[in-house]
Amino acid sequence: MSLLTNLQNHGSGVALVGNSPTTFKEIVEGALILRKTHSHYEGAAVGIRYTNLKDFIVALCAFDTFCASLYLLPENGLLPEHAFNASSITLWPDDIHVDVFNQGRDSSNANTYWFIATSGTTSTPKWIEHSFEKLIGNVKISESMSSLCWGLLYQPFRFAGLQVLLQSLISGASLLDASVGNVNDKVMLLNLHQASAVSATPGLWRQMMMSHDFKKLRLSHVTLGGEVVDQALLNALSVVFPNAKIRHIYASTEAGVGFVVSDKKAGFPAEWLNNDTLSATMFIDEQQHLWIKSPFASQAMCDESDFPEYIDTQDVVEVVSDRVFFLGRANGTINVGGNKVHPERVEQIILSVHGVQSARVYGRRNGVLGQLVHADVILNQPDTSLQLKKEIIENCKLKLERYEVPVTIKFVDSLEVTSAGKVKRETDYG
Amino acid sequence: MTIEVTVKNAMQQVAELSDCKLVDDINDDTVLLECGLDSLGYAMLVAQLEEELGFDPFTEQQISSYPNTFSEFVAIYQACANKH
Repeated sequence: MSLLTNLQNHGSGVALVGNSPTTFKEIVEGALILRKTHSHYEGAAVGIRYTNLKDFIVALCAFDTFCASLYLLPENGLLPEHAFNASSITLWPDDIHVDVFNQGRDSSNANTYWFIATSGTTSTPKWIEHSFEKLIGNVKISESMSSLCWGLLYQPFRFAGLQVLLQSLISGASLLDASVGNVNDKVMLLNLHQASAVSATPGLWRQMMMSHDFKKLRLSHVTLGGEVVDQALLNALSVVFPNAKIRHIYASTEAGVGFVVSDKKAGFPAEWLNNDTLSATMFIDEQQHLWIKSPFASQAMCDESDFPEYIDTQDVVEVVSDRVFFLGRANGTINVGGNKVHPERVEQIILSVHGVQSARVYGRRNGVLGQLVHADVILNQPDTSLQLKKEIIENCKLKLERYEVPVTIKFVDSLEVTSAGKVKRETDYG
Repeated sequence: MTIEVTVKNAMQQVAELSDCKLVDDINDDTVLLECGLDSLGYAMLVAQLEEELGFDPFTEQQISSYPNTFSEFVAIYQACANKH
């Protein structure tokens, strides 16, 4: 069933609350008009550029099952370099064509392929393909779910935000755009519109808890995702919302929604491993990587895998008695409050500073944002003036996002190297 | 140096490093989110204090509530320092 058909079932219920309240009926009408005015989009590859939540939802409804493929462009507007069975992508709302490399392939899917960019603002995003059925595979529909008001804190064109958006729309709940503004603004908005369900990263939950008005929130559904969830945070949320359903969603753009932990404990039960009675089956390999076979995973990702149908999540885990805990990312990617930082990129920037011989960038545990970026640096000659340290930081600030800039730069005499002679890049899991 | 002074000094350093501007008069009742530091600034503050004091109360303790004001923030560090 298409997104449009799903929304047609909700009649004149309120879909969007906030500055410009909108009913499901208005969204459906807007989508049908868009199909008429943009009939040349039928069967085409279309890239949706986000401008505001209402127009974004109308466009998704209009173009799902109408276009051959739908690319949700990230905020920096980066386009894919190639498209399946198309030599150009038409950008909406700009209505301009951009030539891309045509990667032909057999297509048996009569519906629309959705493409979502992985996060990482400075590196080239990877485009992950999903079918609409898989994207909504984890949506919960019930009378109580339809009465919720979801506060949207994520960007809706990213996987996590799209999940909140689709959960709200398909279940007939209402959605509040709280994705912009500072933390106080977000909490104020959630209170003002009496949001009852919120999904956010652990980092954002911790910041919101520092807001005075946080305790005024009346949430029945608290969802965490995007980063490792620790017990301290789960406990603190349980104190503020003793009757709420507190759920940790394990999901990624590639693997889709893997599983949901709702027992208010960090990690997940070890009995879920190697258990093929569950919808998502998992195992841990010799390198302690968690592998997952999820019915909601991107098919293209599964096709690339060494183990048929399984995806290497690149998450390093350990089993402690009856629980599996997340330790960090195998490839050294640092997660700063939900933002991915690639250490190699930061190292390259540091190495470009005259006087630096080598560098090692790594993540260290932080009580506010989960992890922060740190750097160990070897200089060509000792420097006691701190001038070089300032120069490194300035250079990083100039070329990197703020969260990518190392918070400490330590001058060291040597760096540990791997047997292959590469700088050892192990995250301090704390 | 008292914990309060250590925290204030660290805030100043972090503000400079993270291009944030602190409000002029930070007192006990100043709301943390209105001090001038953003989320990354606070994360850096916690990292900086860990360097200086040797602990991060937000990862070491099972805290049941997060601080709203400057005095509550200092109190969490003071309680952790007493334990250490």
